[in-house]
Amino acid sequence: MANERVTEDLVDGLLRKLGYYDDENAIIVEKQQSAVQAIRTALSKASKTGKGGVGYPEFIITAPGTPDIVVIVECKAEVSKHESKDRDKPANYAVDGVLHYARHLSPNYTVIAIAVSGTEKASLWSFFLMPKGESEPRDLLAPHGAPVEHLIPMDDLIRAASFDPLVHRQRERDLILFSQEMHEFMRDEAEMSEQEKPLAVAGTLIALGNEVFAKTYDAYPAKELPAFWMQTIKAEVQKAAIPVPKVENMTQPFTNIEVQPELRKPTKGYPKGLLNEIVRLLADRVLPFMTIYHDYDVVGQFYGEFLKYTGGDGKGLGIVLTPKHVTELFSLIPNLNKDDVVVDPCAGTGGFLISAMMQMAKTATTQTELQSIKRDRLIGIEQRPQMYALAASNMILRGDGKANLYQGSCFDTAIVKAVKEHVSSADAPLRPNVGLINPPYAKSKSDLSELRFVENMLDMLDKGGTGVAIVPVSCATASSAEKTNIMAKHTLEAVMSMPPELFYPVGVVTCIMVFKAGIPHAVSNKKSWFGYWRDDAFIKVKNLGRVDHHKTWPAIRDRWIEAWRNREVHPGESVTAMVGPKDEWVAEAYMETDYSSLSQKDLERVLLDYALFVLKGSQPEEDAD
Amino acid sequence: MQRLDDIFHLRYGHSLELNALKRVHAPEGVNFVSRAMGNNGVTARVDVKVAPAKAGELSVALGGNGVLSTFVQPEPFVCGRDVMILTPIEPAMGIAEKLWWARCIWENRYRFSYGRQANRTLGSLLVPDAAPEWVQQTPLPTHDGLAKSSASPLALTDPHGQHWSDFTLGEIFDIKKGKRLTKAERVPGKTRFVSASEKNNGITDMNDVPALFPAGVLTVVYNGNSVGHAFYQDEPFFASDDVNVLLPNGPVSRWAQLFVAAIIKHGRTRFTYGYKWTLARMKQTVIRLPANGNGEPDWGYMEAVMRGLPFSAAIDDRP
Repeated sequence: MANERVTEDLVDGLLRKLGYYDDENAIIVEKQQSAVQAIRTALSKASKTGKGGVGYPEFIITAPGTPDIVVIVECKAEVSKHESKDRDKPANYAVDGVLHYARHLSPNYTVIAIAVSGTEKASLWSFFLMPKGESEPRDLLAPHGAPVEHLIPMDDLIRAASFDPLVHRQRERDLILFSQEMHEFMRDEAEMSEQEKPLAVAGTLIALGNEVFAKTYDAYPAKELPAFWMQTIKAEVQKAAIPVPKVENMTQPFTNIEVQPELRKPTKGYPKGLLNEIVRLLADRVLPFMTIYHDYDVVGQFYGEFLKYTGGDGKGLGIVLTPKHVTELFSLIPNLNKDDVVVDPCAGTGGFLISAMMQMAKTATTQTELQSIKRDRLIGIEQRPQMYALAASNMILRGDGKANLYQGSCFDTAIVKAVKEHVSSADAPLRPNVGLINPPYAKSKSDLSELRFVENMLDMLDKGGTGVAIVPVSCATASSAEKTNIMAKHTLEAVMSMPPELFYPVGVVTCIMVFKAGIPHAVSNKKSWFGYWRDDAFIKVKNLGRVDHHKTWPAIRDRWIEAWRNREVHPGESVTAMVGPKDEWVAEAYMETDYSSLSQKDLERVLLDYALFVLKGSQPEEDAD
Repeated sequence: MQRLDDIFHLRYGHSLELNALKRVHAPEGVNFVSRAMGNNGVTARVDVKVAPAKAGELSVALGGNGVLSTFVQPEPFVCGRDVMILTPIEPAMGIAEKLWWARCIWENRYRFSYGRQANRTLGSLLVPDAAPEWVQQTPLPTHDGLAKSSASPLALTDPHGQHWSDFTLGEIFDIKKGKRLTKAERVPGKTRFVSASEKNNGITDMNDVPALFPAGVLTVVYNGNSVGHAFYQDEPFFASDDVNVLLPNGPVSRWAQLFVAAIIKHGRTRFTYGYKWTLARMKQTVIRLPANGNGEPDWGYMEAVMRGLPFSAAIDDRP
């Protein structure tokens, strides 16, 4: 009878060859048992006989940099024992066995399960993925979609697993829940104000980008860590090559955190101080997402969720944060590509710029083009110092773009001039041709109405450029001087009515306006397109906010964007109309109601309601009880 | 198609502030119509000096959650803010036709939201040229038809007298808790989902889940603002964990159960957010019911009382 040891040695040899043993800190290969308590516990009742004893997979491989993924390997000596027909004999077959173990681990981990049988001469390999929270295995696919068939380096395994949409989704969920945990920790333990919380997170993430800080922060006593933290942030910001006055601007808000007395006090529960705990939590739970996932928006999501719960009412910094799927729409409506230059005069945390960067990067083919996008083609203005610091941090965390962030009012003539005369690093003029804006809503002074911001943005753009704005729907329905002003200079291309609860929990009904800059509406002399984008099929889920629960968003998004780009008219969805500044700029005003669906049954129901009301003696409900 | 103001005279309502008005009970005063969607738009009964709108005129909510809720008001009424009053240009218009137009107006509600009220544009709404033939012929359910009782009236005996006796709910019912099913887990379907609501017989949703309880039992909300509202369920259903289900220990008719529901609801005021009507407490709860000579609940008598009440005929043929 063949010896299972031979198969194990085969795997061991391959692991060695593929670098699994090269860095003991980066990859931990264990046999039969793991030192990680959570894995031990999960396997403690996982015996393959099903009698509740301990389970012992041949190899357990973990990477501390990716704490949510575990690789397990199960070996069988004979190829005939690779897999049973129903995969239900874990004691005798490799595939059955490894899936059995995976099921015990998958409540807490995303499991990459590998089954091996045979010898060096002839061996069979199967690779499975069981995303966290699932109990059915899926084939492990490489990022380009082909199934994994041979043992590959650990990094590639992790990348393959991260590519799986279910894993991705689960991680986003974990991140949201973690952001809530973090919020509570900062509120209850650290007594931090609403403004400080996001700054502490942003600063820490920047500091963690510094390898020395990431490796040594734990050695600093509670009293000294804040100073080291601040010093690292300054150093990192300087490294990002921001002009000196901007460094001051940007780092100043962080000093408030540095001097927070609660953070530097060692307590019973946290002898190294609360800042240490914050850094540790972010290093363990968030950093892995940023380093493994080169897909940017995981952190954007974190910010969004964090700010939402910060402040309790979602307005910690007096901002209405744009939901992520709307920032995505904003990058699609103007059909962004690598040659565009984008400006956001009310950048906030930089959501539009990041999503624009992602969309533009998709069309870039060379490193130079990518560089040009990040360095020259994203311009932001933000007035509040704290928000500015957040936006700049956000851009730094994504590699670049920050040099073109201005701190100040977007009505400041010097800033407007600088934006209009923006040049590339090679000094070629690059006036922005796309403007994206979510202006502050309902500033009390009438001269700061939302449309003034929009007009100001449109004036910055190159002739023929595209301006996209999301504003309260009253801007579109009420007649105002701003509407006249805008139409005198620019063309109203389209208005889309957005879902009423889009900004939940903030109650404001909005619409998106799209303009062509620099060409008076009367000159264009054409109909505008009105979309009825009232249902994005998002639903409110406890603890998660408004989410794409049924995974229908990509289809809806594509339908909307396609209809807009081709100016399609569908009954009940979109309509075109010639409008002027005195008219209402919304689809609702021009769409036709379909009365043919009104049936006798509808009327019977109405009659019954009326009869019942009369029957109750038309008493108000509160008195009827 | 024609404009709405081709068929109706439109005028702004009284725009009264409810908190400045004196509340009264019928038959005094008049109905106060606000932007509410339920109860024909009527939210209070008030005493006012102004001349009310006439019976038979229509009220239309111009904003708020119930924007474009349109009702025919059977009595004179006054309005809160953002309510418009519509009078048919053709004075002979019948109730059924008015209700049909009301429904046509309501069909346009997708056009409006908090951000876009109907104040400016209501008159320009496009509606069909005429109501279809069948509208005139659709009968209006009548008060008399609905209010009939199923048997002759029977006087209720004195609850403090010798014909009534105390029972703990636990001895006459097998009480079970519903099951948690979060909104995130629910998928639209055909099973009634009974939850913490005092409206629509406690049914808040229709879901794709197997029924948890059979028909012919009572549900009682144990948690939340609607605590103590008891309903008789005539179809199998799924109960949420905010609901306790009372399964009779023996055969108890629907009528008798409805009687018990009324008694249970009567005792609901003792319970609040802080003091929930939990399963344990509900089992211990003592209620007073008519009893027979053997000290058992007199189900027959309860049924007879219920069947003698107005409206009972309307549900006589239900299971």
